[in-house]
Amino acid sequence: MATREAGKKMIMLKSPDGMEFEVEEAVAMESQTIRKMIEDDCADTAILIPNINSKILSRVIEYCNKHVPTTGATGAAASDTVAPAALAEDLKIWDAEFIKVNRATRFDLIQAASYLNIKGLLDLTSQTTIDTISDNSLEEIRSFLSTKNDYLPEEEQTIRRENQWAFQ
Amino acid sequence: MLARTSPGDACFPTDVLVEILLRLPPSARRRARLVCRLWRDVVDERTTEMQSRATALLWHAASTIAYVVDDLSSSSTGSYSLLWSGRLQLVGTCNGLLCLCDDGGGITLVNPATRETLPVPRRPPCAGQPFGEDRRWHREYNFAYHPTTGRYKVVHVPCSSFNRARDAVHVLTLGEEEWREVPAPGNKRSNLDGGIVSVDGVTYWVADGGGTARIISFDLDSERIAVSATSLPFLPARHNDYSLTEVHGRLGVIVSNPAGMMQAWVRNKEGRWICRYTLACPMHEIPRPHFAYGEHFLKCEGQLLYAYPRQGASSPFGSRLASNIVQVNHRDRGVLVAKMNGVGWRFNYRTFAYVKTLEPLGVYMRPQKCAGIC
Repeated sequence: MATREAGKKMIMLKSPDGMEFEVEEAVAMESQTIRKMIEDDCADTAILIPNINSKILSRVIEYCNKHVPTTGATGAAASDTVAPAALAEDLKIWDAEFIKVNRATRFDLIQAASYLNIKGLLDLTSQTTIDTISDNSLEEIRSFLSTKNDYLPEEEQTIRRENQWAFQ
Repeated sequence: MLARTSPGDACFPTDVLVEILLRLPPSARRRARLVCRLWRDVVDERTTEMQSRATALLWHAASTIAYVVDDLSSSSTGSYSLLWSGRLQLVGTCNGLLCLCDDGGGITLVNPATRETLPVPRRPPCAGQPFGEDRRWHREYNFAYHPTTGRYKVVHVPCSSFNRARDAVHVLTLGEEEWREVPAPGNKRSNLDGGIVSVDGVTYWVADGGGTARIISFDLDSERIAVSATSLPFLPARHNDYSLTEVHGRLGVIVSNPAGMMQAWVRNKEGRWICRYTLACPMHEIPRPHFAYGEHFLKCEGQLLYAYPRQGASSPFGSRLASNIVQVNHRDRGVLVAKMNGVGWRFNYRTFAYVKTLEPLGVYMRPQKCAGIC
């Protein structure tokens, strides 16, 4: 959770379940949605983030803290002395740890990243599902994502034809 | 808007689905339409995937250059642009990828839009087929995508005339190291002039000998070979005067009929051949192997490539004899879509379907990754 530092502008983020998170403006602006609100001057002192509960919002803030440029969250001095490649490697390891969550949390994070428009977090959270869809059979995809095949056999034939680029 | 919900909605909301689908490679995004109606609707309404259209790729074999026709519609200015050039011969195209073959039978895949290239593991030599001989290797291969498994495969058809007992189909799944061998039914020599096409997950070629020509099919999923009960619409006088094609997701054959007119027949759902396209002038050609592009059929005349609308009785070009036959006569000029160099099409140019996609090849570089369970 964010702590106040001297000279840094702070922003209050509120989750619908009543929790408040005070974060640096630079961290909050990792979200393009919040950045736009701040730039358009609709931010006031507190921003309500709808549909994102406090558990997910705190994780999103954790991600933004880590990924905000120049002021690394691991310690004030870190970014001055560490080479960019090592920093990138450190971030990769951190990301891999960060994403070790259950499926429901991951979907919540995808939804939050989508609403808040945080590209890095969206890429990170959606990759496992993208790999699942790319690498598995249709039956497996359906069972992993608890979806049912609701096509009639002839409809399936039509879609197979439509899917060929040469068809249209 | 999408009002429907699916049983999985609670844990996989539509907004999440949209984000995921937008990030998939194009072929996987299309395949996702087969999962369920909701997914199809999301792809159709929330992504631009289904708006991409294939155009004609013109392959000039002598100079090994690929051009794409800019526009096949009636607004065409007859212009085309360079897509790819190199030293390799074109085997075929699939989902925006080109499959190329060197003069030793080695296969390379290319996405001209991203400049990614992927050398494919070499096929083991088989008896009676010495490598390195001057052969037209590219004619023996086909490159295809299976619509439900999402796997790409390179297929080599049996064409050894030296040792029929060892005749086999060789197939490589992209991402795997080894080619697999599938024994072919005996005494069925492939007629390479007839071409090899893949339609909806099945690769077809023609085996002829002893006055009969049979279509052989190879299922790209089960990797089984079958001899089709359907023969060609009719066997032309000349052995090399037909070639297989794909027309709007169905198997077709371009053939000279007994009167010398070029025709394209399409195999319908019931497995019967239906004539769809007739060129009444003997000097005109149906470009091969691919002539049907969306609403347009192509025709070549000398070095001129024309397009004709395939539907609509009010069409100013061609006439519709029956429900679905396009007949093109002397006077029907069509729309000029390209004027190529050189003399005549038949031996100089081949036509393929091409669509610009970001289909990735890099993912096949490393060994197949373990599928992450979502």
